[in-house]
Amino acid sequence: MTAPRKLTPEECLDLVPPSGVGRAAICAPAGPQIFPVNYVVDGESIVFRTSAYSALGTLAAGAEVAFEVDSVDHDHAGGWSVVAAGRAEAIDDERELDMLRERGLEPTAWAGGLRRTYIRLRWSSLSGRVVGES
Amino acid sequence: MAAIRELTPAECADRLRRTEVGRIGVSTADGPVIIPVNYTMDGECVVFRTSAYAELAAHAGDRVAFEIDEIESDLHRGWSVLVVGTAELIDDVDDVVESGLAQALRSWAPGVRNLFIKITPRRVTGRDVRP
Repeated sequence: MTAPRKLTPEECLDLVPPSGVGRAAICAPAGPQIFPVNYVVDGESIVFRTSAYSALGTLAAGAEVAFEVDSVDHDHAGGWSVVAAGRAEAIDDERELDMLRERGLEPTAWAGGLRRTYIRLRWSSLSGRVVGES
Repeated sequence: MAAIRELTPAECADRLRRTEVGRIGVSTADGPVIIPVNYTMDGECVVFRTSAYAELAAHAGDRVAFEIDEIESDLHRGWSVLVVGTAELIDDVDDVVESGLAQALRSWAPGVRNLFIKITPRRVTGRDVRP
């Protein structure tokens, strides 16, 4: 078994699927919180959807957010994890949303429901590690 | 339209017992940090192993979040459980080893991981989504 290795930002980008499920972590007043959400990668940012009244919807915009995507292989005790961190902003511009939709970049909401708040996280750091490389 | 249901405390506890990998979130001056960890349950507490130098070890005593999930995005179904609590260093490592917890903590990332951290939950919530 090899030791964990840090990934370069380029390797991180290669590993993270263009869309899928990741976890957004925020610092809430009462402590950190983690929410699984669908995302899409758009250039050097992650876009995800939430509802306006959720903790994520009310706290993420304008705040530092860490977004984690991973793939863990239990049987082989290996996998990778990538974290994009930076300031998140709500996407208020309908044209920007239309452009995302036109490019097929609108993230689906796995949990359905009214998730009309779109958050864009432009990462200032992209880090990751891989475990159990053969 | 998806059906979203809050999980009962018993359902949350059951899922916490059945899962091996979760994600720890801590608040730092530079923003939140999130790290996947192998874990096991000691009663109601989440226990995981980390190295003395890992970022996580610096946050013993802090309020932390711990999340597990299983999501089939394409099928619009899945569940997640969020534990919010206080992280503490377990001082008596011998006790951990004797109780068998150390063996249960097959660490996802190998290396020197001789610090044990226990999260005592203050709040456990979960939800289940079905199409």
